[in-house]
Amino acid sequence: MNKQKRFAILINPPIYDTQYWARWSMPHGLLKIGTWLRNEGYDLHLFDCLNPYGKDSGVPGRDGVMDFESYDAVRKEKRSVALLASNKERILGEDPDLVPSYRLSSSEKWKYTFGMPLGLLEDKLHNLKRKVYTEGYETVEIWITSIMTYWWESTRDVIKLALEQFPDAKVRIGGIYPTLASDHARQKLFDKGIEPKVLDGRQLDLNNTELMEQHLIVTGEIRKASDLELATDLYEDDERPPYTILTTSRGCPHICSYCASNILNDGTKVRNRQFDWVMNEIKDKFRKGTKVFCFYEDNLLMNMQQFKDILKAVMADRSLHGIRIYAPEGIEIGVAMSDRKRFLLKLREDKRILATLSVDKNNAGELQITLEEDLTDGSVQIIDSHLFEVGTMRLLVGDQDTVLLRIEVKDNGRHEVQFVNEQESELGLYLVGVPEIVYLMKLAGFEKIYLPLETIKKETNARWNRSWNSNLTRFESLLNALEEVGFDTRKQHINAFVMFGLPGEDIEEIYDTALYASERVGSVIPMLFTPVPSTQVFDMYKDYIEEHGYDLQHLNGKLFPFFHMLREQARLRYPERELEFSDYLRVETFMQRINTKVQGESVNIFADSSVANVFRQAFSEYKPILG
Amino acid sequence: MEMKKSADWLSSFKEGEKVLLVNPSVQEVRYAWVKWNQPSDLLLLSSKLKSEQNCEVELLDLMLPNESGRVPLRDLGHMKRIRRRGEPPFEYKSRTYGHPLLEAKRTFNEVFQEWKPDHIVITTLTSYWFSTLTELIAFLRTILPGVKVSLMGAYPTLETSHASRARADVLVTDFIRFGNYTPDFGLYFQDRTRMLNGGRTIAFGGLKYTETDVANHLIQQVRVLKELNIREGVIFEGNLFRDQCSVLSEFLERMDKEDIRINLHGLCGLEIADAVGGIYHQMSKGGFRSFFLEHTLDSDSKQLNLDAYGRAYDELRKNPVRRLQSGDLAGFIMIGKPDDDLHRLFTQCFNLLELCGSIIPKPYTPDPFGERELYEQITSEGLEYLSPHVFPLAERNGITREQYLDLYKHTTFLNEKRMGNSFDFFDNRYSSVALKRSLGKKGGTV
Repeated sequence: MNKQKRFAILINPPIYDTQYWARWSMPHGLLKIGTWLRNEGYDLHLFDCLNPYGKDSGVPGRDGVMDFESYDAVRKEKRSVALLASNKERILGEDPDLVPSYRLSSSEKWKYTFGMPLGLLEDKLHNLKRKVYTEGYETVEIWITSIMTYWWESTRDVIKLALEQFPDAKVRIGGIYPTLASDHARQKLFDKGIEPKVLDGRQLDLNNTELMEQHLIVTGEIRKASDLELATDLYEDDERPPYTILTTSRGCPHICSYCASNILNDGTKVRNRQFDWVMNEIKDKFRKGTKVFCFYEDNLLMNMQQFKDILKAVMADRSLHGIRIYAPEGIEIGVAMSDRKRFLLKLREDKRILATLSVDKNNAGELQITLEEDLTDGSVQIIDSHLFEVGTMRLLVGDQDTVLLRIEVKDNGRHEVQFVNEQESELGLYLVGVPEIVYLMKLAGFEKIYLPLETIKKETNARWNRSWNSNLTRFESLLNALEEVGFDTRKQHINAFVMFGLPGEDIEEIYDTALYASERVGSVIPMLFTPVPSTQVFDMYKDYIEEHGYDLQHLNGKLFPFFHMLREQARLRYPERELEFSDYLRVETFMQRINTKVQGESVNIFADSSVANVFRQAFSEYKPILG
Repeated sequence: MEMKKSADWLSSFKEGEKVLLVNPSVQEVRYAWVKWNQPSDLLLLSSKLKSEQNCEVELLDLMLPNESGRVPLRDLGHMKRIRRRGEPPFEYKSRTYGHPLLEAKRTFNEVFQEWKPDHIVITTLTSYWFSTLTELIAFLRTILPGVKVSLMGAYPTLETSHASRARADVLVTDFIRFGNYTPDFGLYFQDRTRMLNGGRTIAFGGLKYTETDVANHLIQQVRVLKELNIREGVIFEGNLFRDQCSVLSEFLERMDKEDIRINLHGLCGLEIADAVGGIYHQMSKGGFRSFFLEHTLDSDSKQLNLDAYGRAYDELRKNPVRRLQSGDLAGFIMIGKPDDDLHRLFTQCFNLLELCGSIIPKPYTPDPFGERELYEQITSEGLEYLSPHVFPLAERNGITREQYLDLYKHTTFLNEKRMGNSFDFFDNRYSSVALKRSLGKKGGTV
């Protein structure tokens, strides 16, 4: 008997949605909670219903090698048919006329249960009951994470189901949904006969018996857990994802009108996790077999120096050889471009980097050029530095090229280095300055870079309070820098998010952005817009949302909640033709199709190449034969 | 090394001779539809040898797909370099398709210990797939020393001199006429052949038209497939619609009358200019599940024969007797021809996407019989230049290999299926018009 110990069941629920991409879906917040609870003496059991690596994921070939890139999907079962841009949904089993073979109309989509079906979760909870009662735990708590606000229904269903199995247990619901829509969550649970208390995460005290005897909706951050490691050991050995999520900071200084980051993080202040903690977590996880690390941050580059320190420490640590790092949330373009420059001395012929240099202050406070790396095993030698002339460096490259470099002082502190005698280079050398951070990211093993392009239309950016992101010249400069350090645009090393489904947009604008991204970046990631409670956009369109009787699940971007408004706006622009749902579906498919790869390279229909030109000409002249 | 005409060569087989037929691996830039490859000539030869000489025949099919329709790839780092005047060579990634020999060596030894062939016959499907033969023959000579090796098919027939480098004992220098023989599908199910092929058998049967009484022989072939529990079939024939579709029609009528059911796939030989009204409906009813229409131009212009495509469209899409799956109606589009024009090709792609919903680019290489001069111009540079996947006529027709690669990417983009559809922005709907406007912001459009 273990009367003193407490037992917590951690659940990442399945979801109801039309589509779901399972990569990077690890419930990192819940796993930090796991570490915290364990430190506080809890025994734990985890049900990650969205784990594509789980035995019940339904992913074929699961028994093979655990390559994380092969696991983008989890099992899915048809659940309901949603009428797009409406609050109407027919659920299988409840609507006698709806059968799995039902043929959708163009204004409908199937919604699926993604992940572990509720019935299976129920069985597993039932089986767990015996263990829990045998051990004789005094209290059982059920901690449930809930991410997207439009996924709230499955959270409610899981809570109900869990309480049926553990009637005496207390539930704690945390995550984005309860933080942004705590009243909604409380009401929906109340409708099911559950009366939770809403509590700020900072006030959560595990030893407050009176508090812990209640069901809790926890809003915001639980500070005591925020900086802890992820309890990935809660996964069975043969189900543990081969990657882990790293969070080194929280918060973003911007308040984009559609983003809730400032609510989730209690303002715009950016807070960092301690460097040592991050490095210890990386080393510990790597030692235990995790090779893939994914930075998941509100704004990765906000604390540039610490991020650089982490990358440098990773590169310097030989025991971390083979690490693979990703940052799928993207990097902010302006911040990246504002970084100090690393200058790359390259061969024009094959773009090889021979050496890297930077501008620093010496002990006397004078600017000087520093040779950071010679990547040629001795073929780049310093002839003199600061001697030939203050602020200069002369290099001998190979045994023939003398390279004269001179600092060009800039008022903003981002000094340049000139390659004074570039024209005389017999080897065909050139010098290019790139933000140091992108060079380090490439060096540290980042395979892909994600950029939040969203839209190329300035007015739209201004409307969504994102003017800071509307500088295409800066975007191009960053792309050039990424290419110079070795990311290949046509091989989809760089990916651009393109957002659509927003009020006020026109389909042509979406195409403009997608084509631009396809041409320049080579890979387009379409993102359908969902209005999130607590954001400016949500408040701005509250009347519209209420008028259409939308609940949160109806605001899922994949259901085109703003379609009626967009259609009205389209009528004003082009009264001769009507915007249909299928137009939006086609735009979505266009953005997916434009990523088509052949022999490892993506198509570029917006290129200046002769074939792309002829393609566009033939398309513009084409007269359909079917009328 | 001997060179023999097929009639002489066939007469040299002795009564009861043990013959090992071999379908070799292929080194190529791309091998489309490897799932549907089958060495019909070897299967016909098996029938003939068994019937006429009472030979014991086994088959080693190095291109036999596995259950998922794939064959292993090897030599992935290999590059095929195409020389160009005044420019660096154009490089294609090339790989070897086929089951590796060394891994199965133990099985081979096991089989050949108990059953040693007197004669090995290797086939070649094209005159330019030869690069794996030297290694294959050397390997076979190692494990079966002293056994006679014959090389037959397109390579020794069309390129006899070049084929002498392969070091076979006999080159068969013309194509074999198989008369009314039908493919020996059962060969794949013989114990030794199964062992040689790692337990794999065929998932479909490649049916062949015979010289006479075609429908009857096709029915016989289908019956054999049914007995072997094979439910998929392809008719490998140059023109299924020959003789005003009478042959095909009679076959389908017989199938219907005798209530024989099999899934047929129209992957080749749908020469739609010869199709008669109603044939597509009859094919659909008779079990055809896919229709890949041969690239068909008007005889007096370089435009698509829209009447012919229109008939297929009417019967297969507009008024179908059975709804086809996405991608099961497609139009081939030949690229790499002497008179290629990019604008015309794109327009034809758009036509085909409207009418069929799918396009399949088919790289072109000259016909050694009908376009002998062109064929010889290319082979004079190197036999490997004949592969359609390296676009033998590039540059000389004004289109570079880089452009062909770009064209290939564009056609793949157009054909990419999303929500069951290929690119279909040709109508007057909002999304189509907006795309035209958006694309129009860049040069190239009018």
